[in-house]
Amino acid sequence: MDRVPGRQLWQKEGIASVLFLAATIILALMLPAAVGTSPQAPAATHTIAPWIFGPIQVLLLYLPPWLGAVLLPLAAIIFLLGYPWISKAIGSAAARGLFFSLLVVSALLLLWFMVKEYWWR
Amino acid sequence: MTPKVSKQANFFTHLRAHTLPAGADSVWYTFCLGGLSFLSFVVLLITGLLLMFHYQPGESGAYPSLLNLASVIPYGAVLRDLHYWAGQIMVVTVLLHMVRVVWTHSYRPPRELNWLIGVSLLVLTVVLDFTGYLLRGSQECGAAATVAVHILQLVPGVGPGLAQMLFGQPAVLSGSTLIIYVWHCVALPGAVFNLQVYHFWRVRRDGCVRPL
Repeated sequence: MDRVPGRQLWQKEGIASVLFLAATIILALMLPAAVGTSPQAPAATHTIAPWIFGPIQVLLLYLPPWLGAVLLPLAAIIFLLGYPWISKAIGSAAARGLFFSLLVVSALLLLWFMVKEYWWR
Repeated sequence: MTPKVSKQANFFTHLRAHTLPAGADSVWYTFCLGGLSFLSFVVLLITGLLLMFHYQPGESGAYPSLLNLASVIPYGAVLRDLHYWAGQIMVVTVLLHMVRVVWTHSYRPPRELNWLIGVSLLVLTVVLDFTGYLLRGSQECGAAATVAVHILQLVPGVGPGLAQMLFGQPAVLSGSTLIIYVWHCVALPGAVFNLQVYHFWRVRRDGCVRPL
């Protein structure tokens, strides 16, 4: 296989880093992080999880906690950890189908969470 | 040259090789997602270290120190916002990096070990994000910590001990505890940093994948 100097990649990575840092700074200046509700304020009756855990909050609404918050997330992590071996056992196309199904289900749960907790309220 | 120096040279050469396979210098090769995840981590380390000068963990101190940072300390709000957004971006770039790895079949032999390290890094990144959220010390964080403790206690046998080890005893109206602070600022970043360095080294060691 032909080889090229690594310097070319480092230069591109440098440009990507500068653009990335600029985008992060702009984001931070335009959208301040929330501070939440003070512990001294009257207790809130309903709280919303951070968006990353939105799918789990939705699962907790409709499934028992041992299933929605323990078994299913654990199964997803075990599936991801074993992915190279699962792919070898059932074929890469089937494994990729399972992987993207997991991704789509997670995205749909996140969308459900966003609609329910942010747009619908 | 002693064997020790030779091993160090070997390590850094693998991290930063002088030459690469043709095509590996294309942006469309990896979208720089692994590198951007690491860059987010570096931003988190720097801003996190600066935030530690003013932040106080614990039920009574967390939220007032957060307000102090957000409105009194010069550039405190910018530091906190940068820390927050770098954390959110890191979760997204690590996830997208995993999607790219699956799409290009980059988990195939001999890269299974690096895949395991990558998935561990994704899980640790999410845990870092969660512990960082709890350190706000607001009512929402108290509720999140309470839910997390109850969920962990559902794990048969080790659950209650695990919950105590990871969270301590967070108050219902403030999720911040010294235990969560130490996990977030010392133990988890240390583990993530070491795994990342080994992950990058193995990327070069195991060889590059085909371009997209």
